[in-house]
Amino acid sequence: MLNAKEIQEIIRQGYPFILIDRITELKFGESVTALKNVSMGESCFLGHFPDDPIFPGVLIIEGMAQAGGFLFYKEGKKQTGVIAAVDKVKFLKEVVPGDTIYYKGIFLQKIGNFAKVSFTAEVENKIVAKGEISYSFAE
Amino acid sequence: MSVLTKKDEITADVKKLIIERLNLSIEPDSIVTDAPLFLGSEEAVGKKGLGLDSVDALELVVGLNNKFDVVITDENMEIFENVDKIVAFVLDNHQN
Repeated sequence: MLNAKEIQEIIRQGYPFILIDRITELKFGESVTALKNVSMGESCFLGHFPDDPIFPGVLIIEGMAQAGGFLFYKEGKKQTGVIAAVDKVKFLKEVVPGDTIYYKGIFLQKIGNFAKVSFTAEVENKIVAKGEISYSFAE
Repeated sequence: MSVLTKKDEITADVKKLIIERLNLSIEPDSIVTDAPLFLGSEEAVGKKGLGLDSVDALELVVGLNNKFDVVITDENMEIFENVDKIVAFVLDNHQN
């Protein structure tokens, strides 16, 4: 639905911090699915861990946050949100090179300049992580 | 059921919801129902408020919606001034 190049035009992050490769499903203000292909070539595996490549949980959180940002962006404009809170995050299974992560976000609530989204991260239809992220938007 | 009982019941539920949703380590009885919940207002100083922040408000919006099926919008954000106002809003708007 949105490829890597189109994502780059909308997202504020740049290389090497764009952590989603494709938006596969998007209903504005309702739900979003983004995918991320995890490759052995990623620089994080130099240190996490030198003999045991595991995709870092914090990058999974960032991937969720980037996917969720697409629920709110206005066409033709860059995204504006930043993370305000991260809740109830669990990492249920290790993610390793070769995995494709599907970040699935469901909009929960918006009030004032804040919005909250619930997420799962799935690899081969199994949930590897889940949590909730609150966004703050510049006025 | 009398109006008073219903109000007491919802007050207890709202206090419980605030504590659970925000992971506070306090007893429900220690929440003063007319004390300002949030930081930022000058009246909040020295009045036994909980010192909540704007992210907590969002969490409470989600919690109140789940528990009482009430929709809180930007227009009625003033209900977060204190517990009494939240309870009054729930009494006026919930569907049970």
